[in-house]
Amino acid sequence: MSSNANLMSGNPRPAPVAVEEASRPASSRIRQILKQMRKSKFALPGGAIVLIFIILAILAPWIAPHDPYANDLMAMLLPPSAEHPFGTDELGRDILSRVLVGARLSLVEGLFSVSLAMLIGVPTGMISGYVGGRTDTVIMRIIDVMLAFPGVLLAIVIVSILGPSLVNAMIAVAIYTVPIFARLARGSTLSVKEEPYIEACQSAGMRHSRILLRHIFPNIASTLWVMAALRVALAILTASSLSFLGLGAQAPSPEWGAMLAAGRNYMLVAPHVVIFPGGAIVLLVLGINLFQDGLRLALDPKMAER
Amino acid sequence: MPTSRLFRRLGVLVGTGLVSASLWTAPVLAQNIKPLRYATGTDAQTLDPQFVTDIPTARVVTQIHETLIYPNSAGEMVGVLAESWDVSEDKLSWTFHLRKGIKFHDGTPFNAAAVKFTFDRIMAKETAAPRASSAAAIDSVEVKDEHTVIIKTKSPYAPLLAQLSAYNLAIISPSAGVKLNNEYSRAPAGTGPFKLGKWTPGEKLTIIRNDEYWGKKAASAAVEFTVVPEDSARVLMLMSGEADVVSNVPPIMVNRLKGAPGVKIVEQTGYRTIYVGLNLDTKPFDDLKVRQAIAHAIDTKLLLSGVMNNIGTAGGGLESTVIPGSAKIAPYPYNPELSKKLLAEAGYPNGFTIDFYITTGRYINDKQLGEAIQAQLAKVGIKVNLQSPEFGAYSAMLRQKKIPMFLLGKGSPTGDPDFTLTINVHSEGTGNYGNYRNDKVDRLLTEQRSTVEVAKRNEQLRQVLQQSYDDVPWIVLFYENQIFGERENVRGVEVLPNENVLFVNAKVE
Amino acid sequence: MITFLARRLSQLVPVLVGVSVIVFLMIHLIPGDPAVLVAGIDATKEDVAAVRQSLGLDKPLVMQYGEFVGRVATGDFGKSFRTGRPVSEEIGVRYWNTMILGLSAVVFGTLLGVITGILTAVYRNGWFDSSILAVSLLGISIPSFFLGISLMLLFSVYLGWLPLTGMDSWKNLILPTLTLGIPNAAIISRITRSSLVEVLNQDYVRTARAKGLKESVVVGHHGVRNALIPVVTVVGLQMGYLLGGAVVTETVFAWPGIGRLIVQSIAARDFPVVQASVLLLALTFVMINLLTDVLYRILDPRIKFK
Repeated sequence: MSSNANLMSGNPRPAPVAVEEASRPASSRIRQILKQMRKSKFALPGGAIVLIFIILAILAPWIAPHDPYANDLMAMLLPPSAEHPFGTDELGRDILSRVLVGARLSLVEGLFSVSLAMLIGVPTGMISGYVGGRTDTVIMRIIDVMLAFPGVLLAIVIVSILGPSLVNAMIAVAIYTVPIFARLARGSTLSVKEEPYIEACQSAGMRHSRILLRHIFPNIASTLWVMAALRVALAILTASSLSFLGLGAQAPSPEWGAMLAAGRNYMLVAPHVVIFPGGAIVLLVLGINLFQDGLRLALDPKMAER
Repeated sequence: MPTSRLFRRLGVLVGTGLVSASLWTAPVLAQNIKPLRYATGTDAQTLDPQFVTDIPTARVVTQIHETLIYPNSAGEMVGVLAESWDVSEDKLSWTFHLRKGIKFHDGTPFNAAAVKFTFDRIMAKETAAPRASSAAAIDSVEVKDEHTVIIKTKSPYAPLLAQLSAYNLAIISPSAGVKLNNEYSRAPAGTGPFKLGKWTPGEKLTIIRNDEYWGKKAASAAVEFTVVPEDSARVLMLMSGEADVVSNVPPIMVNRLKGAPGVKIVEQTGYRTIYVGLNLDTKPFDDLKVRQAIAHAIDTKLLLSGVMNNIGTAGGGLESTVIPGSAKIAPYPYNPELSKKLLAEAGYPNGFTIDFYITTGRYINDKQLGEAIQAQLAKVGIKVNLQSPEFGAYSAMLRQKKIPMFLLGKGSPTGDPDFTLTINVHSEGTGNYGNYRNDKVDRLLTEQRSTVEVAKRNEQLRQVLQQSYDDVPWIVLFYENQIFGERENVRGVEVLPNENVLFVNAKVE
Repeated sequence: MITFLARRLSQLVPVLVGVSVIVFLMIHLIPGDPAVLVAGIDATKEDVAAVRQSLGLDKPLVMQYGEFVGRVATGDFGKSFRTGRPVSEEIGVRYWNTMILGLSAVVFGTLLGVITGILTAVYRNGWFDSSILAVSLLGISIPSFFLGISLMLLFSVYLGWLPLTGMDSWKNLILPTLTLGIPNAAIISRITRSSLVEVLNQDYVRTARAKGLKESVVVGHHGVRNALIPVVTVVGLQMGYLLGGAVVTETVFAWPGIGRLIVQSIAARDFPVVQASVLLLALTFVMINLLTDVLYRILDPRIKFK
């Protein structure tokens, strides 16, 4: 690692990469990132997909062809047509309009719950792995306790206690995702902290918080980002499981997970009820993952050297 | 606690589970018998009739056990284990002459003592039967002779015969009851046409023909109840022929299945009422005009034809019109103009906002009904916020009688309105979640109980239903129909209006 | 190693105690009365009171917890509120059913995931990488009920190769394994790829390459082993989640497992069953995590058995 030499000198300084980046004017840095992103052939299409979703989500109320809440019990479960490009749902509502209006909810839901989980889980896991000893034991046993309510069960219990709503569902999904990031961050930290340059940092008297932030995190981040991008899909699907039990977004909210849950019973007769919101999730997740991949390539100094 | 000991214990916990799976296999099913395969959504909870509180469990228990009285296909109460009966002058003691020569599955003879044992058991406090109240009207049970039993009631009790048909009051073998006590479920011994074969809880339960049955023997050697919770999976099993009979086909699948080869749909009207309850102790539902406005703003006809795919029976009274003697009351006509007018008269020209609590997945299309009603009420200016708490929380809130507006279903285990009206309509009833109070209704409910003359009693019950309809503490949406799917070569499955299913005459041809 | 294991095993006790307290508190925090759910929602006050007394719910909470601990200490997990059967009977078979399905899905997912992960890392940014990425993202975004029912339609109804539901033979295991394993494989594949790419960019790998070693040796000898730490973490976590979180798959395939049992028991407020199942799962997770930690140390000898 190139930073070792500087640290060995006994004068703790931030890693050279960071210094370089920070000292450069912002505009040139963005240009640099864009240049790197262009190298990855997926980053731009990925970014474009995410951007389109964001724009659609913002504009949804104006561009939705129909009222997403308007029932028409005489036109239930119609297959896709010119009038309803995505067909209609179990109450005769226009699915295209619902998918559009729901984009806002699902984007926020997916991103919020994963970010919250990362915000809690990653530092916890890193500290646990870095400090080791009793701290590690205590933190990991707490994580074990959390994992003892496996999967969606913890989310069910939390929402049951807090009361069903979209916000509570997001909090529950976040809490249930925390152990994933905590354990992932801990595992990687355990390995990275044995690297010679970390020991060098420590012997040089660098503050632990700085070591964690500047030297360990960049080295474990890529796996975490990959996991985060994947978890967005699972967050929406988990919310869908909660909706199936009536514990997610409350009706008639067109949140995608809730739409999937409602469509579950109609899958055999009207698969379009599931396919379109499901397809929206696939596309969004595809966009986020491609963009994540490209962005990481652009931001990660090690990758950039390739 | 030392870790190793804890381990051993958790090991025991898992180990006993494995072993006990085989303990539940009492008599082994003979080889080469191809059972009738019935796929149902929910497993039986128990095989002890006195602990049954749900329909899927009752459907198993009633194949194995019988009651003294049971309704025939026309809904009339006829004798099963009781051959005949007469009632005393003061209407307080009922003498039942029991059928002779019947044996329980464990060989114990069926007699008056068995009847007394059964009733004493459910009424005993130690038993802690969740439906002990189904025998609440009974004062005592006396054995007159081997085949004659006298049931005494605390006061004249007209619905006694119907009440005796309740699955909770099915007669059990006293020797099994004494020997197994609260483990009766392990080896239930009734008098029914089937006895328990093998039960792997959560997965499969097999009942086999009782060859010593006193009546017409079962047409199939065995019936297998498989637990398949997913509706779509059950439908696929029917289509692929992996199941012969499936319960609770979703209405939306009916049209598709009607066209599928080798499959037929069985539809039976039922006793279950789906209704919207209003809480008269909360504003603005304390105002009759507001309640009427809601009734006229909900298009029940469209809900039935649209959301329910016409599977259900229309009606306005709280008791299903399918119940014999029940009053035929027309639903409130859909009239949004009148509704708006009534709202304006009540002081809500621009409507109001209200929380509407619904169940999810408990009744057929419940969430969808809630959403459709929300949209219909929006048209008269009422803004509805839907709330769908998980059912445990919902039931607790309901029983506190604080929910302003709710969607609920109400079944009827015996088909006699007394039991359910007392719970749901009487001002003191635990199931009167909307705080409905009407002295006339309370009085009529008390009177009908002791009115043994059928026509007069039906008139009293009709008045209760009419009065509560006029007061609009709830709006009846429809009465649920039951939809079963069968393979074309299946004969003789009887789906009853009280939601029970009888397999005694069922067979695959 | 031995002392490490002994110490870790001794930590079981606080975890199990912690889990038992938290489960106990949580299920009592969920609104709803078990006695009402047993007796039926319309049940008279007298019936509900009788049931409550027979379930021991009329006693103060602290006493209930004390009794629970006392019973568990003697190996008695009590009786189910719902069915009256001993809890060990309710849980035992279902736990093994879930273990069978979970293990099968994890083995399938890990094999498929690691293999595709390595291949995509080696041939990164080519058409193979892109197509696996697309398939993975589809695999992870697809709701399990949709995947499950689609597989049933294809393999059981149309082709007639496999049974739909039940547990009569090994053939019954295939479709639920695919349903659970495919999203699992997708996650593992992505994590393997990202981790391996990271390792392949490390200095020592470059050195190995510079020494003229064959690429297969570089990847096989230097790369994979070091890249497996995050993979092991994720496989361990997935195993944990599959044990209790396969609720939808268990439901769709009528597979009587512990996940669905816990959901049903939470819904019915069947406290004894929830408590015992969660305790059992907690024990399982701790064992899995222990295994993960041992594997870390085998894969990366620098991590010490402290």
